[in-house]
Amino acid sequence: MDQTIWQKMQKIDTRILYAALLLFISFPLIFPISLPIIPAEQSREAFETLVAVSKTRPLKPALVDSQWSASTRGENEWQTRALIQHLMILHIPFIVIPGDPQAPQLMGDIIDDYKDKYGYVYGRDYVIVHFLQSSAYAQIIKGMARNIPETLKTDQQGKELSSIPLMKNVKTFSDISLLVEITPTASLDKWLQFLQGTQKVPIVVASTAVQSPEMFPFLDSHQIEGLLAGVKGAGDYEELMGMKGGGTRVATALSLVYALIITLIVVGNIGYFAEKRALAAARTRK
Amino acid sequence: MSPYLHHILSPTLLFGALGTIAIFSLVFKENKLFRFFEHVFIGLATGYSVQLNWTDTLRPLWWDPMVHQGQWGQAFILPFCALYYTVYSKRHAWMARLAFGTLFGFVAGTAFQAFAGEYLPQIHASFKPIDVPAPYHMAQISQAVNNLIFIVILLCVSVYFFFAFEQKNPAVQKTALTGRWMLMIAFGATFGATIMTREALLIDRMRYLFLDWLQLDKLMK
Repeated sequence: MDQTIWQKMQKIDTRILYAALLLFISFPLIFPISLPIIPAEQSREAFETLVAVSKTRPLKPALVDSQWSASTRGENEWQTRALIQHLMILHIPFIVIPGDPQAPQLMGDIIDDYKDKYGYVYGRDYVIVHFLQSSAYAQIIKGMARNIPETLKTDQQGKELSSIPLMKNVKTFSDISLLVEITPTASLDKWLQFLQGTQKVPIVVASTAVQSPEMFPFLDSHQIEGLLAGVKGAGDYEELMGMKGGGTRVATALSLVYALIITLIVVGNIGYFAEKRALAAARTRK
Repeated sequence: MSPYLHHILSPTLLFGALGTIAIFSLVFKENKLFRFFEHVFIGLATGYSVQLNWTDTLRPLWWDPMVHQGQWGQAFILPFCALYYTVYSKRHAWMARLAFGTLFGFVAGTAFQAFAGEYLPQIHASFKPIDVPAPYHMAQISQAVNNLIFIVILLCVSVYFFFAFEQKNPAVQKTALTGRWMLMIAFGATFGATIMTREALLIDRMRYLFLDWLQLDKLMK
């Protein structure tokens, strides 16, 4: 039996859908196009928190807790690039805590891309601590509340943290200006549970989009001071910094993909309701 | 060989590209290439995690301190942890409770602090003013409306999760139903965000294929 146009609209061949998806993704990647990016309020708050921290004196180092691995590179890499660049532009020194085995290398590669441009020197302006088991974060954070170098012990090359110049004045959380949490998991919970109970350190979170709805209550209660939600957050942040980087390019592709998905949902629903109406009309005629 | 061919045939990039294409080929049809790369991926991930557990956790935190730094007391950790495996024997399963019980004790101790640290500020933040002090600025009025919406939703959802008695009263039923609708809207937002993550990961793989591997952006210039 021949399908009506309404039925066809509801049953588009999946191969056509995938081909359309591929086209909508690849076009803005290969031929960069510019769509307006309006930064979300929570991205702006994150940006302003970093700026406010950079104006405090004495300028204390920030902690960058990196929980991501290659599996969420599509979102977390662009967030990391934007945040690391902003930290460097604002001359905020930082200590990277890798909570995933791949994080030391991923973070090291990203920092290497920008350190010469902004004059950052390892040991003086930034440190990458050795990998820490994220499952032991409750104990690690409690230990850090007492003594950070003693708890974290060494950097990724096995050097004692207490011998690194940047760590000379870092003993407890009161010597930390900011926590930047870059995560695809619910790792923020541990910092809220065990850091904020002891010390009020402003927290900025860069989470994957799937995690972001869980972060909004913390934003509302001011337990965190800013949020980059997925790659849209990375695009927002680049916009706020006045840069057009990879985050903007991926966010543009994402916007087009969302436009495609919404269009297909609308088409499918028009087909569904029109078919329903046509069937009802046919029944009435009988 | 031209520099471009040399680039796209470099083993690391080529293997990554082939793996990506093979895994995505599943969307069209189940095939042997997909199965092969799926098993390669699982094998790599398992081997990688075993190696990491040793080099990044067990050796620096347990083996080296025990063998090279004289912390011989750590030798007891291994037999204690091995007690977990007694769950597989009916006769010796009781021993696993020693290990579980100890762990539960540690976790319960921190759970109180964890709850207070994470949720008390949220409870505190949920007490929002709904009155508008004079002079009546638009910003204050809209904030008060926002707060009112928040409180209504909070109450409705709380009523939905109140299972201590049967919800017979129509007012309670309607409130709980509203709460359920609000939850559905929240789940819808969460689902939308999930799609965003999946699409971002797909875009990342396409970026790898088109830009990192094939360098189409440079070719099209």
